[in-house]
Amino acid sequence: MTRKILALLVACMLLPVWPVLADKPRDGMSYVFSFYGDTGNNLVIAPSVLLSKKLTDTYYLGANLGVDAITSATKKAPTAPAPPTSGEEDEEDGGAFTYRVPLSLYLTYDKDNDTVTGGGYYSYETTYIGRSLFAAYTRRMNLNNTSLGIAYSQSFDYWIPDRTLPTDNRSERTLDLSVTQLLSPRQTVQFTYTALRSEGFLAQPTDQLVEYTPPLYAQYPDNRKGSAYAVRFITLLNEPTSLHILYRYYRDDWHIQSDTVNIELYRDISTSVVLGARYRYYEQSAAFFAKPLDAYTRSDTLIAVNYRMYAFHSNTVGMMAIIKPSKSFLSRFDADKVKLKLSADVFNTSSHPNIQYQYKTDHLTGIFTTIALDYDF
Amino acid sequence: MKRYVIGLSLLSLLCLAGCAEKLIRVQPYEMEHFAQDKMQFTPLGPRTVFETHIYSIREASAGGLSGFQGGCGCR
Repeated sequence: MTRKILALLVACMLLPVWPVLADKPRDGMSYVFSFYGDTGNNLVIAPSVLLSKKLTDTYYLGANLGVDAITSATKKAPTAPAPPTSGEEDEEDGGAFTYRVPLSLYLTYDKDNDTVTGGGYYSYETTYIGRSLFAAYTRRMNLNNTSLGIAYSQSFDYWIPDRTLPTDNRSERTLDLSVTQLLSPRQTVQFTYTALRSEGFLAQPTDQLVEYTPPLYAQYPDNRKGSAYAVRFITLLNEPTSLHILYRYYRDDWHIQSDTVNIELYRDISTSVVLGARYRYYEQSAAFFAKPLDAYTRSDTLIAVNYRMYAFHSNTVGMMAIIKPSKSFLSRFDADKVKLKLSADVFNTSSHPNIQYQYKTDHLTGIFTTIALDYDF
Repeated sequence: MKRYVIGLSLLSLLCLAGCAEKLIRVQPYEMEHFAQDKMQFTPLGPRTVFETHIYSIREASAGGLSGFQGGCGCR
């Protein structure tokens, strides 16, 4: 395992300069290394390179290329008659990396008070192909006090499964509407509404109840409509300290409702270092077809195995840092153009019998970290 | 859901048409704080992208963050 991680680290150091879908046009590049690991023996190592290059006064070309090494994504379904002792994967599968290669390209037009972005996304992994088109428009007005945004994305994904599925397709549509308003020289607020539509095979092909022969596989409804409403508020508490508060309410026609609260505090420690801390709480209800695992029968047409379809809550705590290297440290570069952004977060779910069933632990504890080096041209 | 969309659209139209002056709360020379990293909605953009992806795998909710996430077979 260590050797694989080292090999991947070396590989990503060799990646040429590539790209990101930024919030606003940027003339620069970022090198990002992300890591996720949890007590369910899931591991994600995701290096990526992001590039946004100013072509003319108004046009920017952007790209984002990464390689995700994953031990838990689209796992190979066990072939009968060798059911493992749980619904997830056996130890051997859990230690084997699968790779996902996501690439996005986009073009941004930015002039005066208008920004328009359009692009495409493609990802490849052994058992799943992701393809999307997306577009976004942002209008700034009232002397940049108000900003209206609309974004739309449409995916045309499909599975390459190890077993026959009702359909191999999965498509998702997302519409985002947002309003951002400055309230004072020290406060700003943003409201966002998201409409989500999903169709196709929406469960994990490998999720299954192995007590049955042949196994009962997870099967969700073939379409889903969801809505999310979020408000974000930022205030400068005093000159070196800012407070970020997010609340999001989500609901869908599978009867899942959730509440998310995220609080972040940032403080300038010096002219070159910003430190931050965060706390996030998440709580959701169960889908209408979620039942105790031992209550399912062969006559059930909808089966949930993954704990995500059940009621649970989670907590996340984290630390962040934004570092501008000193000019003496980067004597050969323009230090004002370089930023190092670091974060480490730990999240913890509540206990759930389905987590025990799939991951052999009563709750999941995970850590995710991101190291990003930004350079502006 | 439609009424929320209509409400948001009406609010947007109001911003576009009528109450512009009342919404100018900050003059250009007062915006220095908003240029700071700690006053951005996503001070650490790459972390936001990655954690949104992680949460989309670990939770059943999505949206509300006005950011694009490509499809993957993790969910």
